[in-house]
Amino acid sequence: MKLGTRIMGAGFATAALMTAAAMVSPVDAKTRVAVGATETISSHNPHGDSISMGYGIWCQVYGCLGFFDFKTGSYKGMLAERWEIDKKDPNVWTFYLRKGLKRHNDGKELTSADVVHSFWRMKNDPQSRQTQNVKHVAKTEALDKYTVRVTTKKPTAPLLEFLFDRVMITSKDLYDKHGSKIADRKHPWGWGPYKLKKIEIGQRIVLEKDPGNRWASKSMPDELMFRVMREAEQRVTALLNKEIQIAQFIPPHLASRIAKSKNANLVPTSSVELMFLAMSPKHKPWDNATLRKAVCHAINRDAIIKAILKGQANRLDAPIGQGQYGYDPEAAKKMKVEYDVAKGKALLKKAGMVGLKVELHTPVGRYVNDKQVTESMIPMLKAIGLDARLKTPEWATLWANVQKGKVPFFYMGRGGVVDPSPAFAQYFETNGSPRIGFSNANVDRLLQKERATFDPEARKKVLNQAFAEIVKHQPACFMWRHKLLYGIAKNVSYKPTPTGRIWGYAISVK
Amino acid sequence: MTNSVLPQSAREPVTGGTEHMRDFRKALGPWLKPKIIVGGTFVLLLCFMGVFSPLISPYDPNAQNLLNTLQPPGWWAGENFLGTDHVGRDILSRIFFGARISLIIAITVVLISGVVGVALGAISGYFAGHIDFGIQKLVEVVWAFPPLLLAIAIVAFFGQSLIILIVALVVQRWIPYCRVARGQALSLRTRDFVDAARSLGASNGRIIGVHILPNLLQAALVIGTFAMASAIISEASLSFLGLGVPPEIPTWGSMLADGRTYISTSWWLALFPGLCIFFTVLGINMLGDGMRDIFDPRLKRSGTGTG
Repeated sequence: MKLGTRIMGAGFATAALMTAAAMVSPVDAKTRVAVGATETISSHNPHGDSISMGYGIWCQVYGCLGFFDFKTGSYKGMLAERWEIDKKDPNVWTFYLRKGLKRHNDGKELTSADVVHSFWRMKNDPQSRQTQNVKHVAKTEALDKYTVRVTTKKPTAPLLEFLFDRVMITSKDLYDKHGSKIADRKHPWGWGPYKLKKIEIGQRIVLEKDPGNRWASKSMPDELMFRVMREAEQRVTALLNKEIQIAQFIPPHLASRIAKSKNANLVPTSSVELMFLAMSPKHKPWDNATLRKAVCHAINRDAIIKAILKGQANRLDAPIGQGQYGYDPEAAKKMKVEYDVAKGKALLKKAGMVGLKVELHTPVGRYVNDKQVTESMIPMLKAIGLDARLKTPEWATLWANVQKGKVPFFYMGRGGVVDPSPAFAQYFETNGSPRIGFSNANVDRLLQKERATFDPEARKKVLNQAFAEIVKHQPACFMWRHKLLYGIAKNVSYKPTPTGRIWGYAISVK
Repeated sequence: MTNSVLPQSAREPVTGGTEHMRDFRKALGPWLKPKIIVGGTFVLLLCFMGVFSPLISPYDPNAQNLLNTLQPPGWWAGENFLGTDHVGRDILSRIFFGARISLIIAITVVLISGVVGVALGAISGYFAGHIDFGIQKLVEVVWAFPPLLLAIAIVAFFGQSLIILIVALVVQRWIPYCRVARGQALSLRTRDFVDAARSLGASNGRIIGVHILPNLLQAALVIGTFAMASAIISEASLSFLGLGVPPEIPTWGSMLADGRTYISTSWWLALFPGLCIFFTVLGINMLGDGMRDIFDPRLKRSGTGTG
């Protein structure tokens, strides 16, 4: 055979093989969905972060007791099949675990010992940011292999909101054998539908579907990747270039780019994240309630919503808004703090703080148009007589300092507020968390009372009394809830949730 | 002494007004090169905008108008010549005030680092021995840090303010002056005029101040022009990263950073400050290049220079 013929033959053979491979690959190809996200977890420890998206990620890997299902408007069990409150003692909750759940890689079955261990770790792990979620829990016991009894210190009606997708169930045996560091880094095995494939802190998190898992359906993407993209332009460009399939939190001014695109759709969702201006009374001069009230009167929320957020937000008249548990429009009307420069000026004068220098700390790129929003607040604060300056520290620094209670005046959001009880206990109850450091006996009493009230209507009433008391002291000015816009590739079907958590089970690739 | 090192006036005796004019034109000649004229014009424009910004700005650079956000350039016909930003501030006014910050930073950084660098270099080179060793070790340690990272670390640690930003930029910028000044001082310390001064009883301080330092100024001037451009770029980079001056002070870098969020929908927010940075740095570099041509003795000897 001549050399030329051989070469031609080899060429044809190669081409035929490549064509065959190309024909076969779509059938065998793994589906992958990449999410352009604005926040990320900061450690390998599943209890080490307190961010909305992080809860969603860890719950899909380790598994959690349950979550709130927005479709049905009720709590849905995940690792817990069902639960009940003792009729005689409202402090006693019993959780019945699903049987036969197999752990990633070694197939070990989930037992109540793992659940008890996880509660213990949330309380005692030095890295844990979940202590506020288990602070009402006095005792956790394994009644048998699949039954866990949780005893609260006081009757706690919204216990599920504290526990359900915030308590990650980690393995006791792996912790005992390797310790937390090795267990979290080398053996991040759980009972969720996805295995943890890779974490590059601050950059990306890659999850891989565990095909044998109970919740791993065929339609779910085989790989789910969370890529940190703080710049909105970056997320939109990546979506339009098909680098990612879901882009979180599209600012209003970029919405038209996605709306006009052939590759992606714009999908709105209302958020349950409360945006607020926090003023920590444990720092001077913010211990002065008159100053705090003056600040709240200074902010023209309607103008900001219209000009900066282009109408993509719902103003909060009360601490919570429509659709959140306990919202009462009549009570909200009474709590509304009007934009009133004259009143703000008068209050500031009364406080003797005209010309006071204050520094407003803002995240940049963490929330929709956050820097722009706070920039627009500066002249408003100046208008009532404050010498206001804006501070734009890097997010990791700001967040670390806020969590330690070191930032006196800041713009921030609290996500995942379906039932407001945990959020308000965290931010406004004495020793809830150091973030604001507010302490008021009446607020404490009312928040404790609402938690102990199991009758929904009575509880809503008490919640609104607590809200009114908080508004009276204004440790925070409640701003709005964003109407969040997501960019979603046309070959992906997904309905975003108001909590900002992204669940693989709700995503399918067409 | 050869004729070539004598000043022009010594070589050609003055015979009248025409000769004066001829001498003046000859002396001016090297300064009339295109790169010096173009570069100088940009620098003068920067100085003009910086110095007169309160007079020539149509609006207060921080005045917001939430009813007039993201307006495109109105040019001569509109209210806002270069448009408005995301909170309705006038971009032209912010550019003028941004020039002021760039100018303040460039001049201050160059002056402080020049004074520190030349002084340390002169001391290091003149005294040599242990003092030279100590100063050069300090140079090596400071030089080992990546410049922008060091500046970021300083601003992140001490917080944002104009003074801290200047300190962060000066921390490493004195080193080129120091190195060049040391090299020259090492050579000058053994020259006859220095020995003569010493034998006449001049103190070390006087020798450095009167005899060494004046001979280091030409090189420092050339380094200074390039350092100005680099200081402006560094300030813009730090401001772009949100680590420059506080947000209420308009700077081109922070305007560029704000504009990037709107780059696909409101191009004017990023374009104009970007162009200002580009032309200013280009102008300063051209001017510096021209001055190096005039002052660098190696270029003079090789004939490529103009001096």
